[in-house]
Amino acid sequence: MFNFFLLILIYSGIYALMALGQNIITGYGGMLSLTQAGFFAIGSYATAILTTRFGWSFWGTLPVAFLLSALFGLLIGLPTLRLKGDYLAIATLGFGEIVRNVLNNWDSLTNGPMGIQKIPMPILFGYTINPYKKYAFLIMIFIFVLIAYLLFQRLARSRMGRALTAVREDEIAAQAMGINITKYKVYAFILGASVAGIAGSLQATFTLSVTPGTYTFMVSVMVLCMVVLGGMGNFKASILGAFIIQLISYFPQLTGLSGSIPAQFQQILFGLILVVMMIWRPQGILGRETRRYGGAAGNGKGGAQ
Amino acid sequence: MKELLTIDDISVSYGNIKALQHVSMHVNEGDIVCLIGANGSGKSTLLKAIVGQEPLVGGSITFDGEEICRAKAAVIKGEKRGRHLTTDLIAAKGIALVPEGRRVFADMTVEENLDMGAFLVRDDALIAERKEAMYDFFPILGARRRQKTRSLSGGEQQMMAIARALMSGPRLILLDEPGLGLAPLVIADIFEKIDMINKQDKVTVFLVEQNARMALKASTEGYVMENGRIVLHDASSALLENEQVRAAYLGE
Repeated sequence: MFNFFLLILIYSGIYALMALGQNIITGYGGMLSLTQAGFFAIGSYATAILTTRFGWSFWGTLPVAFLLSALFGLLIGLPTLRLKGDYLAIATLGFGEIVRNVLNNWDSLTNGPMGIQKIPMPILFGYTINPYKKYAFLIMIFIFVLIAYLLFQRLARSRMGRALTAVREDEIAAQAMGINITKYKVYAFILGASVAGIAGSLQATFTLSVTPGTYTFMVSVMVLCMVVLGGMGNFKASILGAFIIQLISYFPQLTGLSGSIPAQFQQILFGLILVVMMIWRPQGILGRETRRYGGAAGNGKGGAQ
Repeated sequence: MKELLTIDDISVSYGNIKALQHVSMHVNEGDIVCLIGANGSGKSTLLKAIVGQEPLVGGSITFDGEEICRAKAAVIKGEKRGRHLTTDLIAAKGIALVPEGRRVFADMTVEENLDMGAFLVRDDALIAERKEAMYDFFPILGARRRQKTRSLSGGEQQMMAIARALMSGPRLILLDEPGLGLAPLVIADIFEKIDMINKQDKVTVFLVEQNARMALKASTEGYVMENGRIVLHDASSALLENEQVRAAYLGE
C-alpha cells in the first residue's frame, strides 16, 4: 500500500513537469494547447530508442529528449500560433494524435504497438537508480521538478514573463508596446514542449518500457486539468494540481474499490471537477500569482533579482 | 518643416470592400495633425495601416525618411518588392499608438502598465525617470500607481494609455479617438494634456477623432475623410470656418 503511494508520488512528479510546461503555454501565454502528450511521447521514445538500440546511457538521452521536443515545439508552434482559442486547441490536439499514430505504425523504429522493452535503469556515479525501490527514483524526479520550478519562476519574472503577460492581456496593445508577439509565443511553446520531453524521458526510465497506448489524448487533457485546477499562471499551483489529479485518478485503486468502480469513473470525475471549479472558483485553487514588474529602480519594489 | 510621416497614395481593402482609396497625407515634425470623419469613413483603418496591422493593396508609408510599409503590387520608385514591418518593429522606430478603446492591461497596476510601455527601453534609470515625469504630468496616475487599472475611471484609463505610449519616448504619437465615451470636461482635460505633450515634450501628434470641434481646435492641420478618401485638407483654423465642415461635422 505504501509502495503504491510512492508510485503515485512519482507519477505526480512526472506530470508536474508537464503541468509546469503547460502553465507557461496556457497560464502565461494564454494559448489553449493540447499537445503535451505528443511531446511526452517524443521524450519517452527518444530515451527508449537511444538506450536500447544504441546503448546510450539515460543521462545522454536527456538532452536529446529535450532538444527533440523543443524542435517539434518550434515546428508545431510556428504555423499553429496564428490560431487562437478553440482553433489552436484542435490543431495542437491533431499533433498529439499524429505522434501517437506514427509511433504505432513506424515498426522498424518504434516496434509498433508492442512498444520497446528493457530500457536500462539510470546509473549515477555507479549507483543504479532502481525504479522498483522507488525512494531514489522519487528523489531524482523531485530534483527535476524543483529545477524546472525554479527556472520557470525566474523566467516569469524576466522580460519574457512580462511580455507573455502583456500578450495574454491584449495582443494589440502588446504589439504597440514593441513586443514581438510571435517570438514570445513560440518561445513559450518551445519551453513548454521541452519540459514535457524531459518528463517523457523520466517516464520511460521509470516504467522501463514504452508503448504508444500510454500517450493518449487523455494525458494532454489531464495535464490541462492540473493547470486549471491549481490555478493558471501559478507554477506552485500547477504542481499542486498534478498531485491532486494523480491522487484522484488512482482513487479507486487506493481505496481498494477498483473492482466496483469502473475505469471510466476517472473521466467523469475530471469533468465534474472542472465544472465545479468553473462555477465556484474559476481562478483555480491558488489563483494567479501576482507579480510586481517593477523593472525600474526608484519604486522601492525591485522586480530584478 | 520636415515631414515626419508621409502617407503616399495608399489603399486598403477588406475583401471586396475598399476601406481606403488612394489616401495621401503627411504629418510635419512638431505639429498636431487631426483626421476627422464620420463612423466607418476609414479613420481607424488608416491608423491600423500606419502601425502595420492592415496590409496595403497600394501605396506606401514613410516614417522619418524610411519606408515602413509598401504595397506588394505597386510599382514605386521602380521597385516591385513589397515591404511590411510588423507592429512591434514600427513601434521600435518611434511611433507610439494609443489604441481605440484604450486597451489598457486591466489586470496590471498603473505602474506595471507604464513599465510595459517602456518594454523597448533597456535603461532602468531612464524608465524610473520617465515614470516620475508621467506621475508629475498626470497626478491622478501617481496617486493610483499601485491600483489595478481595471479600477480606474474611463478618463483615468485614457490618461494612462497616453502615459503608457509616452513611456517609450516616441517621436510620433497616434491617438485613436481619445475622447471616445468620455464626459466633455474630461475630454477638454485630455486635449489640454495632448497640447502640452506636443509643446513641452516636442512629440508630434496625429489625432483621429469623431469630435471634430475638439480635434480642430487642438490641432494645427486637419484632414477630412469620407468613404475612405481624403476630401479636404487645410489648416485647422480654416477648416473650422469651412462651410462644408461646419454643416457636416460641427452641426451649424
